[in-house]
Amino acid sequence: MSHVSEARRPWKLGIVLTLLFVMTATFGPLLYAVDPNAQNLLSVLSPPGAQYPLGTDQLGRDVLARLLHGARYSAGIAIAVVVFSIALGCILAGIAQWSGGMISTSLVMFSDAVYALPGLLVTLLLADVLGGGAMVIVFLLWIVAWPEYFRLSYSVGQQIVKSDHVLASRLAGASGGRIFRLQVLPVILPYLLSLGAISVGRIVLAIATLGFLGVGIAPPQAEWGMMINDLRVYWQISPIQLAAPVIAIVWVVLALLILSQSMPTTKPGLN
Amino acid sequence: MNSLEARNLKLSAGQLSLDVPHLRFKQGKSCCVVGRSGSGKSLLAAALSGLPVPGMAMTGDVCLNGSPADGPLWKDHVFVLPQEPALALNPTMPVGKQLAEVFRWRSDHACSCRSPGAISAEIGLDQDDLKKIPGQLSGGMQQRIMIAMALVARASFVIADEPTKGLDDGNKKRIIDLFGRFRTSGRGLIVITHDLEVASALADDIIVLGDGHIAEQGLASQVLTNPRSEATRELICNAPQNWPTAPATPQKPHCPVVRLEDVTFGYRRTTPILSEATIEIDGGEIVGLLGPSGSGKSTFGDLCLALQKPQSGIVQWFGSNLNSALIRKRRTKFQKLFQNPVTSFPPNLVLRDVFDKLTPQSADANIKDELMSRLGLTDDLLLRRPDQVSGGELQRLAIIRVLLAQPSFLVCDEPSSRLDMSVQRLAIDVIAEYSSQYSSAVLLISHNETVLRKRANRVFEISHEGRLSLKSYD
Amino acid sequence: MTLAALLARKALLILTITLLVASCSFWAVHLLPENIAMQIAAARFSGTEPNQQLAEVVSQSYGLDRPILVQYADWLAGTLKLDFGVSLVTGRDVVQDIAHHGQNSLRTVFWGFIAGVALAVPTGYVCARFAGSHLDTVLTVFSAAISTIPSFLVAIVMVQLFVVELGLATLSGTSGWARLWVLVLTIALSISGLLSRVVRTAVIDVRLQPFMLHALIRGVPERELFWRHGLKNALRPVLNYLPVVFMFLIYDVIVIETVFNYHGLGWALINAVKALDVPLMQGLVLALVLFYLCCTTLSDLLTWRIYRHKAS
Repeated sequence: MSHVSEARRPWKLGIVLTLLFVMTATFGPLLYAVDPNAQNLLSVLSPPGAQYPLGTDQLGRDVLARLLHGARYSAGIAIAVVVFSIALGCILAGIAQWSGGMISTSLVMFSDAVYALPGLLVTLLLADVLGGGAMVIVFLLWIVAWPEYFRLSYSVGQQIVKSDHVLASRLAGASGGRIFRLQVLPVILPYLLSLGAISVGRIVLAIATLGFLGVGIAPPQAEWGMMINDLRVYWQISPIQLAAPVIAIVWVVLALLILSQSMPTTKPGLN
Repeated sequence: MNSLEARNLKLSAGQLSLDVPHLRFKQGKSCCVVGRSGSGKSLLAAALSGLPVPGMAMTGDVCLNGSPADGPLWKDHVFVLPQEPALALNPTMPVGKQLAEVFRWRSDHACSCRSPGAISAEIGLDQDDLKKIPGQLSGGMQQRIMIAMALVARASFVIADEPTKGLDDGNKKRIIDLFGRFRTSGRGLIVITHDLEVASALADDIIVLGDGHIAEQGLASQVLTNPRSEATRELICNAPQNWPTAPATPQKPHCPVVRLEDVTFGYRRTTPILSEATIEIDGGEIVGLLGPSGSGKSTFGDLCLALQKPQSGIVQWFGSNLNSALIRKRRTKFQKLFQNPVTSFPPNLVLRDVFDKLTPQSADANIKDELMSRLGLTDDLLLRRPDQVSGGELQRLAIIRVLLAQPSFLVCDEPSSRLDMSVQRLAIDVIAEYSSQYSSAVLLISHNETVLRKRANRVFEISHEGRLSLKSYD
Repeated sequence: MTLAALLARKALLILTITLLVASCSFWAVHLLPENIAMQIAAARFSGTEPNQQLAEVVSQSYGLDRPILVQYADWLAGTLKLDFGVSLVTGRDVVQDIAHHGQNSLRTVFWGFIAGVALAVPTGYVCARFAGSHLDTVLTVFSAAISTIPSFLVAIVMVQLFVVELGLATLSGTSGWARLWVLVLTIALSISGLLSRVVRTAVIDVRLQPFMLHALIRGVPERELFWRHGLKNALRPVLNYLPVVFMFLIYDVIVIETVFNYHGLGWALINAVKALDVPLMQGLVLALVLFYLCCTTLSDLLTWRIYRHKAS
């Protein structure tokens, strides 16, 4: 009877792939310091070569540079959204858990209502009205993403708080802070990170979809979905330029999926 | 006359292993296989029926009527009653429909019952119960449905794995009565149990398993009255009916640690699970609390510990009414020993951290070491997580943790009722010893009346209506 | 839970969400009042340089100069009466637009959902029955790939393959299966990836349950075992997963209709967004959200109907 599921093999693969993405997003644009928006109309759609490792797009912009900046853009937004959502979700779950009664009920109902909203629709509805830009996208995705974390930390937290081992520690006179630090946080954190990993993947996908649809992301911005939309008509002339952002998206989503599914977790309540 | 034989069986699964040179079960006889947990009882049941157990390796033969079985026996010749009826019944199908399957596909033409309705009357369920899904029936009712299936099924042998596990005394007696019918219907009955009460009520023959081998076998009357092996003696002496009776508490000055007066409590206002309960528990006294499953025994304990607020009535600690300041001041002196030791330790922490950071530090540092050695535990256990320690060891650690708080009042909620009798006895003995030494009050909750009679100074019973009454034993 | 309680809860949820969406769009627009008048002016009178004068005209004709709370109350009341106003771009009634485009979308979504389920359920079941085999591995990799690739990519590939290369379908004309089948297939593919995984897990899990073994002990023949005891239990996680499928359907409507240039709700939404046609945007988003909520309510009702024993 093992309560801590063993870390499965893909765990390491997921970590490596994800780290590669994060490193690329962080250091890529620094190491390959080419302006992603510099147009060179003399070498439009040129194939990969010495000057342009991945070739150029329809405006003669360096695809590798755009890919790297696109990674930074997606990763930045996705990680910001997840961090904010975890923070808001946990704080509200803590409030709901602590206060109980009406406050708890209404918080749960409110988060259920927001959770039942198809998130991308809200973003589509408001992104352009609010003027687009990274901050607006972060804000909108944050608004629709937090209920997941609220629900998770509320239900897992409730199981832990109601468990015998927390009661035993309370009877033993341990303070609330100590119980939280030793018994609640270490159990809840892997769940949050696991969900966080999968939603980073989903947000990268959502950003690409927004870029592809041309909503909320202003054109000079290097973004994978937008790159795909721009280059798809030239797929016969420049397949590599098109394949690069496609592979990048699939890579990231797959890496985070593997990571989240193989994350070892401890069951909150034992039985 | 059919017979079921095991020849040169060697079974192993994980750390368990069992060697069976030769065993013979006859039709029309009932045989109980007893032994501590970990002695390989369930392996034997699996091998005899041929049911697949993941990870079990088996060599040797199981023979039916003298010749090796040519297929798994559970399909035709052996009917298996599983350990957890709740898991063996389809949760979404009415039980009557599941019972009808036996009639349709595996009915015994010799059986007098022809319909689910007829058999359900015999096992004490009415027609409406048959329309319910398993989740709407109690554990005892689910077990009776399984027995009804076994009664009508075509099989020469019935194997029951811990059929009374988790049932209270009333349900246990019912199950034992029903099991008598297998013998009258001429089938062979093989019951795996750790409960000697069940064994002595049911068995013609008894097989005692030691660690990985057959310690003793023979007629039930002989084995139980005249044990020859160490394993049997240990089992017998740990059975509650053979525990030495606790010495009567010396009369002490009257000073109730916990006092309840006219306490009423219910999760729903209309149906109280405890009504107008009045009780005083003195220091140094062990009070037993008896009641059927679901009667609110644990809630009563929680009320005494101020973990629940009564709807009406007074709860007092040391003679003063409860208020938050008093509770805060005395919190660690009112402790609880949980039913399941596994759930009472945080799953993510190494045990040492639990003892160092989440346990009251007593002034005398030696107490822990003393208790550890008294209970036969070594320090290296503390470097493990709860899931890396056996249930018995964990129960002992839970006791140590509770006693380190030096409680004035201790609620023991069915301590280790899911573990062996030996662990159960140890748990209760250590607590009784502590209670008399430090004159602390103990509320011992159990559904096993024998345990309470042997260990408690007074025994109260909660009825289904929530009435508390003192039981008298002459 | 009783049926009445279930319906009441769903109704409350739908009401809350309607008000939530209406409030979101209202405040987003009106917290920037000059901005919106200018933007509407720019959208309506495209070609001319938007200026203050035009903005004022717009402001008056849309009642943007009234006190903001009055406008808000008006907006909410209108929303609840399903009166979303008129499109800023075309001047047509938004409800009419929704009805017109909704028909188109409903048809593809309905058949796409049916086709997706018809694709996913047998795939998942076969994978579960032959778990660990080569067939299982191939189907697993395929469905994992489908579910990882964003649906706009799937749509692009479908267009390239069936429309451009093979010429088996067209991108013009609104009705007729010659055009629709690619759309339906694309929607089906994009939802079947994850759904077939869910079916596979559900079937494998239920086959490992101890009650399945005990049913065999009771003599239930092996060929009847799954249908008798497994189906109803395996269905539950699949039904619970349906809201996610509906969510994907909504996203697919938007993305796939845009790629295929199919005049449905999603296509209209993207155009409205690009033109900043706020009444139309709000109406379309609400229509899609309500459609989604109706689907989840239906699946909840179905779940309730099948497992109502358990609720008591």
